[in-house]
Amino acid sequence: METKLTKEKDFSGWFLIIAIFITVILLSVMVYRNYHSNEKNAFLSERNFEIIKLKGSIIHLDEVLTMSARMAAETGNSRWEKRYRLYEIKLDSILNKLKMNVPSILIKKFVSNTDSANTKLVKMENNAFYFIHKNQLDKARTILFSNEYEKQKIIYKAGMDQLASQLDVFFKEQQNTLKKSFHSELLIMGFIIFILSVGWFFVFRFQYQAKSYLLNSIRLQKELNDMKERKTMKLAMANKELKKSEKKLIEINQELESFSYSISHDLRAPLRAINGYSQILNEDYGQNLDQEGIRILETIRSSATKMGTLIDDLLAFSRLGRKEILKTEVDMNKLIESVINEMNKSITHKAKINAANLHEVNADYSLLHQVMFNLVSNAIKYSSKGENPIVKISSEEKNGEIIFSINDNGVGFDMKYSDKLFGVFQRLHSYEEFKGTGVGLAIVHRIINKHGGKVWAEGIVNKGATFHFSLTKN
Amino acid sequence: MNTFQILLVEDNINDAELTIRALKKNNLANKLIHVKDGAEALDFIFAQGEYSYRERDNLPSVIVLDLKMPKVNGIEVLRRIKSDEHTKRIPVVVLTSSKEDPDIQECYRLGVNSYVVKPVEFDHFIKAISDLGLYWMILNQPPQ
Repeated sequence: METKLTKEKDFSGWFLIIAIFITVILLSVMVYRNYHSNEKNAFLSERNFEIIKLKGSIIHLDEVLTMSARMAAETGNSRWEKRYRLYEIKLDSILNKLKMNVPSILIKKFVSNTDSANTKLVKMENNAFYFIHKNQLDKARTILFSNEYEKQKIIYKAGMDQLASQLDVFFKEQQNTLKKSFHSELLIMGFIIFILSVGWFFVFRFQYQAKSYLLNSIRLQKELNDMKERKTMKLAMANKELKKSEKKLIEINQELESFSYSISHDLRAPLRAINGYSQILNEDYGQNLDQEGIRILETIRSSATKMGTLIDDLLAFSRLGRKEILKTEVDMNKLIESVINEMNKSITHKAKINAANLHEVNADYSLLHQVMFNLVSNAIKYSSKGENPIVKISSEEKNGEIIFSINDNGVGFDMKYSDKLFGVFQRLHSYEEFKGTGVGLAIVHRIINKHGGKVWAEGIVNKGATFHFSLTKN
Repeated sequence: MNTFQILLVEDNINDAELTIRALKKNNLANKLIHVKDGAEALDFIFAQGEYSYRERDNLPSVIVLDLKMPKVNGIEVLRRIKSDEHTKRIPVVVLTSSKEDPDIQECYRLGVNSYVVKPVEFDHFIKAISDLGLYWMILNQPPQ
């Protein structure tokens, strides 16, 4: 969440920098264009001014030339010829200047219109000066005031006027262009300003949005933190509760432990007394009792003994509930071997026990030892009344589980009681038939359950029984 | 010089009687003294209280001790015996109904010499007491 926020912030920063960069570029372009167009305008204005000036000069100089020539013819004074020559050069230079400043087509047209007239006028004026030099002023005057001279002058003047009016038109056009370019500049500037305004509007809007997004995120983050805190508090409370109940559980467990301690100690003492004093009675006063009396004493003793075993089994069963499982790799072949060795020491039997190639499992060795001891000793016990008792122990792997089976050919059981097999103190046979307290299979059930496995059995009356239990492979 | 050889510490009169009977069968009970709880046992061993008349050096050859007793329990008695330089060499046999593992652990930690669980079956009980008496009184060689 936080990293995302900073990223967003970075992005908006970059955005701002780019916007400023674009703005600077656009403003530079604008300033440059403005400067450029101003320069161009200044140049055009200057040129227009020059044109107007030249136009006036042309008309004026034409008259000055005619007047100078005529005055020379009237007075014979060479001063006028000098002036004529001076202004002739001036006129040429003015025409040259015009050529530079206006489209050449205008000058060409003017020249073609006035060329013959100009040539004739110059020729006539030169002739006049020829006569003036010979002091034949009459002849010069005749030329300069002739109809032909006037006629050519009119033609020249018309050409001149035409040029002037064309220059006016050109000037106006130039003015228009200037105006137009000014308009277009204005338009471009307006456009740039518009673009910048719109751009900056979006920049500010984006900045605002980013800021509000940031604020929103901070608010959300805060809310999240609050929620987390509340959750943590709740969790802490729940933890406290859990600890409380754990403590209570430990207390209950301790109570249970002292309870079973009391059972093992206090319940056993009177049993021992019953047992012992019946024995003493038998030893010291046996000769005074008849057969029935001795049988009754025996029953008292055997019942006390049985109750002792019952208490022991019950304690073993309850202790199992508190015991931690310590899993190791268990070689079942060796385990069975040790079970059979132990059994041969405590039980006399004639059963044949077959076990080979059993799977290895991961389990608590001593608990599994007890399971096997209980199941195998059961199998031996319940097949002990048959002709050739055989106990078969096997294992197989199925769906990631190892299933162990202990099969016997003994008395078996009715499948309709199969659900009672694994209950505490549940028995399917009387004590007289087969001794036992009904705790062995309950212990088996509890141990296998603790390992996360299952235990079940199949049986047929007088044909035997098979007990299975499954353990997960790991 | 020993006027007695076995100190039996047992609060249960029935158990005491059965124990004494078993020892009698082996002629071991004539040198036996029975005290009824831990406090009395300590008074006797350390010659204090009602036993202050006793000579402190007159120690039993073996102490047979029950664990669950009123006033001072067997474990406390064992601790006192084994933490005293004078008395710690006396062999102590715990004879109890308790098969509980923590008790056994604690007794051996304190230096018990033997830990015997009383069998419920009378025949077994008699045999256990006889074996125990014969072993500690006759077979075992205490320091002089």
